[in-house]
Amino acid sequence: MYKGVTLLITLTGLLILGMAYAGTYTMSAHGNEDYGVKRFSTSQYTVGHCGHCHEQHASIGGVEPAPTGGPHGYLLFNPNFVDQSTNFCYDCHVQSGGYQVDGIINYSYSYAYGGNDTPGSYDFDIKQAFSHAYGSGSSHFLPDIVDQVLGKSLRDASNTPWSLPGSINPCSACHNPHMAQRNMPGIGGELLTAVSRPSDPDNLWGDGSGQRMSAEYNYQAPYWYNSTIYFEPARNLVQDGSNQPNFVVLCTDCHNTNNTIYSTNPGLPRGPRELIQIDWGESGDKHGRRNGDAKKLLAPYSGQHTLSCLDCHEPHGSRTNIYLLRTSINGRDVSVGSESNAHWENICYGPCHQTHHTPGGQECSDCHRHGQRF
Amino acid sequence: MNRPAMTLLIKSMVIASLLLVSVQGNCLFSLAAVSGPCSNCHTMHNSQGGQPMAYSFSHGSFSIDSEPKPSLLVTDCIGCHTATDGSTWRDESTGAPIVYNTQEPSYGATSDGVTRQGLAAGNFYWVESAAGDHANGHNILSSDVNLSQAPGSSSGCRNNSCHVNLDRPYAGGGPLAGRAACQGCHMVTGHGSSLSMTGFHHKDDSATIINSAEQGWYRFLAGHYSADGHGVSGIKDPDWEYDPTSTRHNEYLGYQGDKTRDTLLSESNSMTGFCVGCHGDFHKQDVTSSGSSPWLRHPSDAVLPASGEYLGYTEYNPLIPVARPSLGSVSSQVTPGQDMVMCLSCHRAHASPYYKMLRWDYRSDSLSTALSGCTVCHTSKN
Repeated sequence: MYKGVTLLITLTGLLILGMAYAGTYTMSAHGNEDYGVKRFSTSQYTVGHCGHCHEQHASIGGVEPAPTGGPHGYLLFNPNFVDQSTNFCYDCHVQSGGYQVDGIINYSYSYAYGGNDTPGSYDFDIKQAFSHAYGSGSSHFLPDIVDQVLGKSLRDASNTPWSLPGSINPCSACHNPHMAQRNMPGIGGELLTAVSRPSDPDNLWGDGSGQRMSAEYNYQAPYWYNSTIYFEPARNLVQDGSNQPNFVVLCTDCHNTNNTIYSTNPGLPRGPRELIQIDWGESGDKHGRRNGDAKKLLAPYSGQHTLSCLDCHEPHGSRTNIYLLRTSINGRDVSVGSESNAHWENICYGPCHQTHHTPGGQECSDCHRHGQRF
Repeated sequence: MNRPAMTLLIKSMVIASLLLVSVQGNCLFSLAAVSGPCSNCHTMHNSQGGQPMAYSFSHGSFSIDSEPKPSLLVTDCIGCHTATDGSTWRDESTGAPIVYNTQEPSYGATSDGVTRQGLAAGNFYWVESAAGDHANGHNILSSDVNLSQAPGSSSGCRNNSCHVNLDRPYAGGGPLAGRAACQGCHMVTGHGSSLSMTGFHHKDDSATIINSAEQGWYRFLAGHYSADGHGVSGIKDPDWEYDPTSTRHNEYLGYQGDKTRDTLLSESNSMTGFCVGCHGDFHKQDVTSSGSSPWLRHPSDAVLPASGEYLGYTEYNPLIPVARPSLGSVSSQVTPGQDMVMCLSCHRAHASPYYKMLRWDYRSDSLSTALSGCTVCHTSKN
């Protein structure tokens, strides 16, 4: 019996050690041996091979494989980041014309995790998502991440300082390229996640049950597009957020009351200017944890809930709306092409709230916007 | 001195010499890199009983050669360091390490549990035999079908130079005249100085650390531009890593200093410093970023960071060797923050069974196999 217990403890210990030292790259989207990286000019390497992104000597057989241009930082086959429209990640995360065999499609969040497949409402790939100028959607502005985040000292929502290296790709602020997983909806078992917190780049965020929306908030998942049965993000009956990362924690590593972000995004209304600081805590926004005395809500909402940032915003870019606002929210189409009250009413009344509580009065955004506490 | 005394002295010297020869294996150079009878390597007249003593190796077999060899040698480098089977790793008579088996080597380290890789530098079988591939090693006997010159840019001489193509003899004059193939790297006859003229094979390399011309440098790897003052330092495994373990292996010297230039051997005596003589660009740091991260090419002689995934490489793996900042004794430990990745961390110096003379099958159809060498240092990338 004693020997049996000892053996069990030993085997358990070995298993734990094995888990602790297990690598993450081959479990990632890039390192997957079936659908990982595969550059057309380095076809001698198997799928997922590091050589598809990193050139050890910028020379194979005396010739640099396409694209040429000499060596680049981090041994990458092209410059890591140049500007909003030229980014190493776009070289593969583009539907066509890139270096990845067969290209890569990354639909907008509204499409992939919201179900909105209305033509013209979503982007097909990452490069497209980051290409929107004012008047034709909006995009997260990467140069601001380079200038104001990378190599700088920031604080998370709990005021804990953090920093990232100054020379990394701005996409890496949220996506560790050697860890990010292909988080297709509908996958059972452990949640796969593509994101890492900027304050903790060497770990995935959202894969553990304690890192999901359900762990920290009274969360209600929005409806799937044109459905009153299924919910985001996986078009199933799960609605407590246990199947999606806690995006609030992710986003508020940067967008909180401890950091001042001066946006130079040319797509920002009334910009350049400081962005409104986000407080999703109990003393902050009503859409956050603050008691919102919620009224006139549309299903499935009822009572006090805390929203996820991605319930309303696209993380990369919005095909048609300002402020990265999604083209569909809570299963309904949303059009916010400008800051006019008509557009704000479109987002407030359409998907979530029934009617204006003081008809003929002020505009929605006079009271109800980030930072107003109403 | 009277005649009887002189006779006694001469007799004593002769007897002492004979005793020394007898006790020390018939060679007056008993502490040299080579030992044994002089006739193992030399023939006075290339004639014994009217038959030639010299022999050559060509097209996979040995043949008697009536033409005498330079320095009264019986054969050349390939002749001594080649075996026509796959199991011989040390020549029985001369003790020479075998670097070219005409049959696939059945000894040495393995990265997949099956494929043996020969001695520390690999084996020319994989590049010179019919089953070989020019991309698997240094092409010392024939032109590389893939490359017109050494990749990575030579640091010095470019035209008609050993730095560019090892298979082509140096056409210039002086002590380098005709040097090619093995002697493109192994300075067995040195360069110019009195120390070198007798050949590094006869130097005393019995010390643990080999770091001088007097010892023939490590594996006779010496620079010639500055004569014998600079060469590679290292600790040689007694059986040239025939059966390496974490405690039995070569030790390589690295250099933590400035690598923004490619002329490094003269100041470092490092293994990587020697490689950059022909592959200079593969080594230099990014000068535009003050020599710091991000690297433009995979670093060599770069200190393993004492952070993150690199902390996982602590037990010396002879399949992925590291360089040391200084040489002491053979160690089974790897110390991130101190030890360095180098050219030989990934490549075999002569040839390997694998693409680009790598120490593992980087081009395997199996991703885990292809990355198996990378993940020794990049421990989170498995």
